[in-house]
Amino acid sequence: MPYDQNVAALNLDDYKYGFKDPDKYVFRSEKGLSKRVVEQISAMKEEPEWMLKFRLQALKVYESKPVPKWGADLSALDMDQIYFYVKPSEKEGRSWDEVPEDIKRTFDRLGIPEAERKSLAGVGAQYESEMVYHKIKEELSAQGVIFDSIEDGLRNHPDLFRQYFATVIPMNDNKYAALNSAVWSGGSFIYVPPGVEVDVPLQAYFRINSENLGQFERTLIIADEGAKLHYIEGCTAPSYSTDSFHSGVIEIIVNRGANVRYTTIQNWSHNMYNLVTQRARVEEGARMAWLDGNLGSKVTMKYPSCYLMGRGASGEILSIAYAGPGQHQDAGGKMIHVAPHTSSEIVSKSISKGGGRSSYRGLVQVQKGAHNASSNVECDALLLDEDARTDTYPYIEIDENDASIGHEATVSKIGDEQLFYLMQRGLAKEEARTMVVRGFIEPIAKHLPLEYAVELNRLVELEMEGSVG
Amino acid sequence: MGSSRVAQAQAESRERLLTADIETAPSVRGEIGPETVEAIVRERSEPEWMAARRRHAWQVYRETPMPTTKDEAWRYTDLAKIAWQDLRMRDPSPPERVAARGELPVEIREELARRGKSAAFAVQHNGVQLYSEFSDELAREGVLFLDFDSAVSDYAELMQKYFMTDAVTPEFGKLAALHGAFVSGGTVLYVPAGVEIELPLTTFRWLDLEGVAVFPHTLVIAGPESQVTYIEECASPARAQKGLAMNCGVTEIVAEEGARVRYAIVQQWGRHVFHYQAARVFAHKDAQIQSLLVTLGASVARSDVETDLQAEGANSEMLGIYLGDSDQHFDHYTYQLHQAPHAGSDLLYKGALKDRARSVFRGMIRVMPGAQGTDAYQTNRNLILSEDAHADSLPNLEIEADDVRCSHGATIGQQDEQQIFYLMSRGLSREQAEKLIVSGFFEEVLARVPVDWLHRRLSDEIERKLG
Repeated sequence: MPYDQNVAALNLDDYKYGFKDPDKYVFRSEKGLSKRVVEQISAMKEEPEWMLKFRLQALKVYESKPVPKWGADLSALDMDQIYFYVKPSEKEGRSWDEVPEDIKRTFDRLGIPEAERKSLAGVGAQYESEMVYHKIKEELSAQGVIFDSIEDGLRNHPDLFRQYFATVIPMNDNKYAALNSAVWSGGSFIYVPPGVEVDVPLQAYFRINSENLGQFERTLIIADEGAKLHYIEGCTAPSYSTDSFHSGVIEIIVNRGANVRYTTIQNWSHNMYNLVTQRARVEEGARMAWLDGNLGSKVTMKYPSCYLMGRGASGEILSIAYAGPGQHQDAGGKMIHVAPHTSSEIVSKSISKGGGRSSYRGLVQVQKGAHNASSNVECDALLLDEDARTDTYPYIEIDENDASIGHEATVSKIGDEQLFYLMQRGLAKEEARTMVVRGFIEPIAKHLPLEYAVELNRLVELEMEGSVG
Repeated sequence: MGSSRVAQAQAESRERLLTADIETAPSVRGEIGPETVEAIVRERSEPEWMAARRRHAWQVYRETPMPTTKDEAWRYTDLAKIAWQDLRMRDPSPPERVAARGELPVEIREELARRGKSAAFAVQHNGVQLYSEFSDELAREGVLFLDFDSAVSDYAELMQKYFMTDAVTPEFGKLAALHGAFVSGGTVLYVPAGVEIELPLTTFRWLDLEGVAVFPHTLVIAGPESQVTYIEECASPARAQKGLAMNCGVTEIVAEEGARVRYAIVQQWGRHVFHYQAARVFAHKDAQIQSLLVTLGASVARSDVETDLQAEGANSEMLGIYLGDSDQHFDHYTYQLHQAPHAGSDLLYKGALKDRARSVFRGMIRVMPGAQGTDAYQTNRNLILSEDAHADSLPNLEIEADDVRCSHGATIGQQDEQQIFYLMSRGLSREQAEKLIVSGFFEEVLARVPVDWLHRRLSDEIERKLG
């Protein structure tokens, strides 16, 4: 199998978002990570003293933690080659007219302004290290909904910000959460007041344009009692021959009776290391749902989690991964049952092809006192050829005797009977294969907003082209 | 804060590990060293090749880092909390062999009386073979059923070929290397090509030492198209023993082409024992293997059970039963390695936990590139019978071939209240109903045990332990 050619073909020809713009920025830190870089970021953002201290402490934590030995291979990730902060423009726009012309053109090509006009409650767009655009529908802001860049959240709502920031994911949680805590820049700050239901999604779009850039968005979402929210993030970048790095931290507080859905479709270019920590704290009777789509990137390590802290809290993780040549998707999720009568469900579907590797890694933990917890995990892996690889690493740790916990996983390839049947019905072999794959991901794809479902289907078709061998 | 509560809970449950009521033996730290290896070679007058094996294993032991809870494989069992390094690495006063069955210690005779018919059997006391019975018929067919020391002195060629060369090498891990350096007896079973033995062969191991580690080795070589069933039972006196003892055993099974091997290890050591067992099957073409691991005794028991399916058509059935009470800590690691196409493996491990007992099941199905047509299954089911019991289950898959049928499943739960209710409505007390349900839970595994007397005995032991 001409492996390198495959990688090249996929990167340069097929990846629709691989275009790049000339590098333009108003400030760029020196390459590599240092105390000086952290101080510069904080100074550029005119932050309060406590935040600078927090960043510097996090830098120490980051330096003290070893690179994880489990999961994906991170040995080729060279931090000295990364720009940790690039500021693309002077200010954040409140209308697309205020966004610099070339950046706006990029987002035009990605279809973002159009998507906003059509069906979104609000849109945020991040380019390199900063949010360049944030806007929310007026009727929502009239109800007290806040949708700001994370920097504006800190500036304009300092008390609310400080009450919740880094409470769900402390800086010492893991090496890359510590790194993000030191150099975070961009991301969203969202507050939905008690009882307010945001029925259409808020969306944030993340774009990395420069080569060797590290993007460290930090998002903090607070859904107050009985509130409802759906937040979507999408990610793309140009294809370069050297590696880029994305390491976000997303903290979500789902207060009593609230309901939050967080959807990620990451379609990073195939030179991206994507190491993200996402976690929700779910209170009494509240519900958190993660939909995590990992289609792009070179290496992804990402395990959205729910800490079910209040009685009757529930969590759901739907995870879908596609690993083509040169890709390793190490994804999954964690459900931590702390309170009684909590329930959780994880459904993971992965497709691997041409030397790609997808791994499910998950934890279900029922702590002492979490009576009558129930959890169900289902992992299905589809292998499209003999060079593909799939792994399943579930951890189940149960400290209560009245828990009901199940885990099932299956690995399969496309069955000859399935193909035969579909071809009997007049489909060509390639169409038949595509249809089987579509059917495989359907249980998750149906939860996606339309434009993402279309995108996922397009990607599947693209990847299945020429796959009949 | 959520994560700190998690960390705290984890720390507490680790703290809870290995705090069973074992007293530290008087420290003889320093026994684990090359001088002891040389002393053993001298005392046993071992040939040079065997001395070289021990020295090599010692070298590997020295170079292998001590596993800690930071190592994924030892995440749930902290070796540092067990004072095994303070133990003597050999028995200073080994028991004497006996000439007739009637001369065996009375408590061993009582144990043996509870067992059914065997084609051959051996009794080993603290690692020393006291006595064995072996029929002339088996001898005529060329079957060897030897204690380890005789095998080393009389069958050097066989031992040099198989002893810790293929199935389990010292590089397997720190404790396997320790075993290789200090191996102190055991059983060697050789079945020539085409020989089929209907009745099981059994070794009964008796451990009543304190402050000492024993290193029994089991080597089973089943020739092409042969058939054999081998049962190993481990027990200690009923009286409570306080001083720590360690059993660090290695089992190697080589199943040649078309061989059918059934192997059971029933571990019922006293609570003063820290038990480590590595058992690995090396399966050639069309070999059929069944292994059964029963874990009832010891305070801390760690078993690594592996099947290496080397060639097409090999098939491995891996069964496990564990029932823990008080502060028992059981850690099972299993590995189904598919290196060749069209091989099968099917694992079923079931466990129940009472009181403050804790169990870990970590299983791995590994399908190597090119192992097309693999059928591999893995199931782990746990019943938690008390509020303070704890079970972890980690059923893993690593699949690098696409034409495979692989699945795994794990459940952790409690007894079904409806079943209890039903049985109580039929006149059983709650206690009786619960016992019956747990027995039924294990029956799924026991029904697959081919030796009737072993099946019955295990049912009895489970019932007895359920109280």
